[in-house]
Amino acid sequence: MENKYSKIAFLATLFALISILVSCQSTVKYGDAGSATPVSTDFGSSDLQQIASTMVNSLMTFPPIVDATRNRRPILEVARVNNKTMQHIDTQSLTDSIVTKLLRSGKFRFTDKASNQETIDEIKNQQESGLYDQNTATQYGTNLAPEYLLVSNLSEIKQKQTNGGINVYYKFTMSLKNLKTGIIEWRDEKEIRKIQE
Amino acid sequence: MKRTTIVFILTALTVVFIGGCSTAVMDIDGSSQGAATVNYKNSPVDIKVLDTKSKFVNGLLKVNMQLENGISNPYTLEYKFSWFDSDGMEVDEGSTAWMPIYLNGRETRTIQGLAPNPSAKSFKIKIREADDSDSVIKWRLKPLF
Repeated sequence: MENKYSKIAFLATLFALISILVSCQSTVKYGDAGSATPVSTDFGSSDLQQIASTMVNSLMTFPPIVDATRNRRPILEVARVNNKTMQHIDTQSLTDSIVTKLLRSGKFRFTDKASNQETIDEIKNQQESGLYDQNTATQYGTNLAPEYLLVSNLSEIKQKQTNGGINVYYKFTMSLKNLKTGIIEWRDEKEIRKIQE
Repeated sequence: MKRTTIVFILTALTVVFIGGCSTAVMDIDGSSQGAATVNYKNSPVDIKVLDTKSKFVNGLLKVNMQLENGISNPYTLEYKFSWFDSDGMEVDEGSTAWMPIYLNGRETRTIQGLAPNPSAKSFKIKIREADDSDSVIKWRLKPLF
């Protein structure tokens, strides 16, 4: 009798284990886009999200910026991130996340230097194609100029540990420069350390 | 090897796999008015919420929460803020990401969150155990202030 129960227990446990192994095996599925799980010591999506969140929170709560955005929405332009790491990183994706968050806060407005050529082409089309009512066509020279420039640097220090592991330190620095005065109005940095043992 | 021994090993492995595949989340709910409530029901670890404060900065709800690691070993957690308007509708759903936080044994740390826009009037903070707490890659974030 005891042998029979033991056999049933053995089969039941084996079945449960196989079921769980099957459920945990490698399959293609949707994951959490906001996951903080590091995949490697390389610059990853969570690093990007942490940096974007930290920079936006810092900029929007810095007292002089709070004063500057209380009654108006300053116009900003973003400079390309100076990537000083040894990795190929889509730094525009990083600044895109920062710009999106700042825009959605309702405190800032942005110009987009990257789409200037398309803007010129469209205005030229409106002005010269003869298709458009000139009372509604956009005129040259009506765009508002940015008042501030967001400038940023990304650097890394990579060290091999004595036990063969890798220790990578990332530092992202961002500044807000007043274009008229040349004054740096705000600056902050975010540090991230990733260790692979 | 006796069959009972095999059964024991298989059962232990089953428990390990079940543990590895599950993620518990602890919730802290609060608003711009009144104290925050902590839902320990699904608390993943021995984490104590010492204090929660909130205030409006330039029209944006800012939340400050003090956490304490209740155990003497270092621990990596992840937290995420969700924001809700005055009608209880989530603001900018899906725009916030999980943030890792490294706590030394018995250490007290502060986490801060800022609402994405002025419509946010209340918040929820979710805390969970990092998936890689015991894996080879660990995160250490140096505080900036």
